[in-house]
Amino acid sequence: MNDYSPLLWIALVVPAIGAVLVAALGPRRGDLVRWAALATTLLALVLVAIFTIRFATAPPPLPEAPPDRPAWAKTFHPEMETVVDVLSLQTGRDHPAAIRFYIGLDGLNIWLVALTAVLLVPSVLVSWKVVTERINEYFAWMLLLEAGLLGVFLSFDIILFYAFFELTLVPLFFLIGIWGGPQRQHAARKFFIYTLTGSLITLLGVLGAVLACYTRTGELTFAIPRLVEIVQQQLASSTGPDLEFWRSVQLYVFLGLMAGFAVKVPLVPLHTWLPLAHVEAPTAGSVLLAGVLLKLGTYGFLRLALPLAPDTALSLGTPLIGSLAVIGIIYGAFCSLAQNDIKKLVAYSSVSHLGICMLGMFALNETGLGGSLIQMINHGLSTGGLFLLVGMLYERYHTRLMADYGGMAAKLKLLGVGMVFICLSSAGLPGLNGFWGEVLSLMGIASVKNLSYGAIAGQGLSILGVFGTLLLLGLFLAGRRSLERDWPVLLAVGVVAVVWGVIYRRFLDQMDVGTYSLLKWGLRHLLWDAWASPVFLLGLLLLVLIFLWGRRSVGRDWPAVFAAGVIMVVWAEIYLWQNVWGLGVIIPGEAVLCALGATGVVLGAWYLLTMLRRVFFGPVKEPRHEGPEPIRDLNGRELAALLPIGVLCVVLGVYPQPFFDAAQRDLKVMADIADAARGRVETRLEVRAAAPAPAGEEMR
Amino acid sequence: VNNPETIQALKDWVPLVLPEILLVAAACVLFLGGTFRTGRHLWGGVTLATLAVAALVAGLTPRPADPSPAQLYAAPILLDNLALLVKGLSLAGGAVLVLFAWDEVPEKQAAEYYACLLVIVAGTSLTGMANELITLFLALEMTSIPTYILLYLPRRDNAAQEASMKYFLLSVFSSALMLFGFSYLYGLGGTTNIAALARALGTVGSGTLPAAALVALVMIVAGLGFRIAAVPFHFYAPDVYQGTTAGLAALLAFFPKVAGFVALVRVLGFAPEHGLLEALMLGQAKVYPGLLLGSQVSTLFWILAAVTMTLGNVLALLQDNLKRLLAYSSVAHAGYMLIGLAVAPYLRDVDAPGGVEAILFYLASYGAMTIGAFAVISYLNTPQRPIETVDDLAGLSRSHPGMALLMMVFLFSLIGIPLTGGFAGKFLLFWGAMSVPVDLGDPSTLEHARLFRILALIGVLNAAIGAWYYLRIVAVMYLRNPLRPAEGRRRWPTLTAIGICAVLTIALGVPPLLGLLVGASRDAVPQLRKEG
Repeated sequence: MNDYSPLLWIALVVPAIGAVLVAALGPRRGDLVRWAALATTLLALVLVAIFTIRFATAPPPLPEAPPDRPAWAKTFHPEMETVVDVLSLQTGRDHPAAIRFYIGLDGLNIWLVALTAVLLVPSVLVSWKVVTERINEYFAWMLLLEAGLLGVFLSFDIILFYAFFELTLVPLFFLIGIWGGPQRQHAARKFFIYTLTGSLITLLGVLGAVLACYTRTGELTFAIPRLVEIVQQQLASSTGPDLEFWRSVQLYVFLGLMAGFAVKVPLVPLHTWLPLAHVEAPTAGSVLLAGVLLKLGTYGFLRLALPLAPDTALSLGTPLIGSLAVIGIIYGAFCSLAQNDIKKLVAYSSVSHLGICMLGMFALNETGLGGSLIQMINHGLSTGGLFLLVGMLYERYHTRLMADYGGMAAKLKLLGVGMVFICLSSAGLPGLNGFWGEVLSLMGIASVKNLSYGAIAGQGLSILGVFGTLLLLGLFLAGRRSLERDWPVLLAVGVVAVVWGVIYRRFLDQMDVGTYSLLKWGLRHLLWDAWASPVFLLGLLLLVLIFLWGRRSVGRDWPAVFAAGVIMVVWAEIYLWQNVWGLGVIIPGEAVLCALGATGVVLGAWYLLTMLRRVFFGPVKEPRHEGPEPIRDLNGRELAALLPIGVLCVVLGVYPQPFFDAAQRDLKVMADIADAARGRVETRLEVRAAAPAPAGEEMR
Repeated sequence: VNNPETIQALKDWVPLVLPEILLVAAACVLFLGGTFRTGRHLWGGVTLATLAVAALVAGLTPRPADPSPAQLYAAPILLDNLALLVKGLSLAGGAVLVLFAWDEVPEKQAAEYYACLLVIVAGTSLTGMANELITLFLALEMTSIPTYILLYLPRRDNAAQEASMKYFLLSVFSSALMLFGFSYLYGLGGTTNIAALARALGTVGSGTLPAAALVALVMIVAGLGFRIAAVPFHFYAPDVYQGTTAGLAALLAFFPKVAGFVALVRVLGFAPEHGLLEALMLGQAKVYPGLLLGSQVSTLFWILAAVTMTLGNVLALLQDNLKRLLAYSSVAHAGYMLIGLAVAPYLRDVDAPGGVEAILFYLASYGAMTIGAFAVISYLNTPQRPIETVDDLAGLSRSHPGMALLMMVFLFSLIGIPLTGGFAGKFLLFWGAMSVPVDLGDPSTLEHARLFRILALIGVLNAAIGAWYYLRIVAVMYLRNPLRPAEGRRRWPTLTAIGICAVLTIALGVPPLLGLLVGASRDAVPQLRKEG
């Protein structure tokens, strides 16, 4: 596959060169600047598409393991590599350069690279008319941002990764600070400082990991695959004080790396920069910030924090990050609900959605990791799409307040259709992309590997989340239509739910989900066994009751919906407890996480649909707008920006197989790493249970 | 003394300092010539030519063979790799500062200004070569005394007078402290030759050193701490920087810092001779390089580094005056560099740059970015539109897009954004602090390693604080509208200086210059190469 490797660095260099050219064109030649920027992003997209398709159509198998490297299977094996020496830190000529320009492609970064290239095109299109001031600088910064983002994802050298990670701050700082809203200066600086502080601590984590490998093996390397291999090898073979050393190192490395990535994701106590930055950023800035930049955090966890500190990721990461993620899911959803500003609503929804992504990731099994990975892409597409649509609405009426709008679907038909579609995708409607991320993430966290007996209930629960979404959809439709005719609506929802279930079951039976058998298994059990299970019936019954209640309080439907979510979860919990208590096992924390995460799915549908109802349905209420020309529906340029995203949402939702096929090998590697850690941690717990160690030992 | 090698060493130093002799001679010509003719172009040209010739002479001077121990313990001057690096650094810095001052210096005082600058360059360069306490003291005074004149030369207002008085008194005081420390050193080692002193102290072994060693250490660090503007010897910096021209502030931010750090490296034995290192390996000596005056050296620098960078950064946050802000920033950067000194003794076994090497690298990149930032201020500063506060730069990206871009490069480098020399320097310093080895069998090494990791953490948090005020300048330049219209007058010498600084700032962050300078820094600090 090496014949494709130049494409990678060309794709990296093209936006950078484009940025310089665009900047050199000057602010006067507006149209030339726009077309040049569009051409650059399209060229980058074509390049990325070529190597992505090449990789995805024939995902490479694991290379043959050299006999002297036992940890060979537990590391990354990037394809299409380019390696250039940068700096040798050691003396003597026989040492290889420690820091290198090392880029490549594997299952974990391929789709994120593609996402970046895809989202840049609508970002340029949506800025076409909006940006009039300093236009050459604007597009130059945007193209530089693309180069930086591609660089982060493609890097396989840890310092190169870090350098690109920090360099992405600079373009976005200017994009927000110059072309943003009224509070742009404050937002830009807050964004910059928050992220920089976190990432500087991450630098220490990076150095710590490199140095730990160096002091234990004498090999000074900054190549991520080699570092991961050394860590796995050392962890597998160390005993006594060496093992203690590695345990304590992992804790510090994990905490260090976490500092920067957690700010970027963002996990809840560190998220305060995000709503401000999102709201103040220009539309394209928001699209890229939500669509790609937040993924730098999740990707950082996946690429560095998990494999370089697997034991800590398991023993500390799952409880800590899992809890923070769940808090983020619920907190973000409630914050979204409370907003009157549509853009802020979407911004908070990112906190919620990426919580699900992190939850799935720290399930540390293939299902969860796969769900987490696809959730990254889904969130990029659907939230990117939402920001695009909100931007287009704002461009027309210059207000983002929901109270100013009403019944816009009648006025702007295409925009309304687009908004409903993207909202449903974002809410995880089966058949669209969002579904896979949410269901797989929740199933991952509740899988048998983490809790032996709660798995069925946990998976049932995650499906209930989806059904809750469907029922909310029913509420939404019912609220829209006349109240007298809501029984057929309920029936329709039920039918849709069952039909979807059956179709999916059929579909899954035929589809080779490969290692995603858990999903197949879970859905089948839901539809056969769990069909009869009390929790499901009771949940459904309650939902019917709530729906009836909701019919009478359409204007004030939120307590009903909230109750729906809570009661479903409570019932599932009871079911779970029964199962688990019956076997004399304490309820595992992961089940609680899963249950709460499932609530978040329901809440997610709730705020999105509420927004839809308030803005796009009901009696028409148009904000006052100045200017002679009438407000028109989406034009060709805007449709061109939105269509690719919509198509990708459907494709990913209906047929996600190629996505998983390309990523499968590396997800398996990650899951193997986590399994090895699971073995070590369990052994340690057993040893400690046999001979109680002094308190606080684990923290050392 | 009767050893012929010793006598030879005492005689042979003259050719080694030819470039410095040339610089001082040229300075004399300038001082005298200035009384007959005025003109910045004439004397600026002469100064540049002198620096070029000095560089040429330095480049053509053959490297002397590695001195034998007898020569080493007698020679007042050493031309080793460290000396060459410092020489290069000070000549380059001098050339940039000449260009910088070209338009700033009054026509009538140009000759004196450049003459003083030449002496300072010679003094800094000589500091790097000193192998004798007396030589070192002389070299340091050669950087101080012309500074007094320089501070007094261009302006006669109250602020300038206050600045020069303050600097003069504190500088003299610090020299006295240092001299006091030197006298104790002489008492301890019985010699004023630094290599011999290191040998003598190094083979004594720690623990048996008298308390006088500690006195000497504190006095020397206090005296040199003034020059590098370390807290609590930094008080002069903000007032002096604010009270003087941008060109002089840049000079003060660069040369005394280079001289101070190099002097610390020399006198505290951070750059030991090979013989001492071998003795260490063989167990004949027990003292790590840099710890000659007791193991408290490292603790002292740890505390100094932490306090200096924290106080410098926090106080810089509060500043509105640009020069004051950059003064505190220069204090903060001294703090980062002190990390290198604190950690250097423990990196004996680590085959990677991190301690003194990182400081040498940082000095170069710090010089480029700080002189560059001052030069931009100087370039924009006109009598009609003085640049005093941060707000005076508002909307610079609209009125002077090029200047704003260059200033942004310097500021991002000061923050430590990758692809700049500032990042590479910080990376090396933090790398050093993180790489203190842990011997699993020895709990005390664990303790040391942990302490230095905490120092690295303090360092990165400080870098984040620092980002706030640098970013404030970037935000003012790019995110605000211009207050007053731009006025155009190109001043090519200053522009050239800014250009050189910008190129260096970026070049030091990317190969090949990055690798070259890291290599040169490594070569400058003798170390036992472990094969492997």
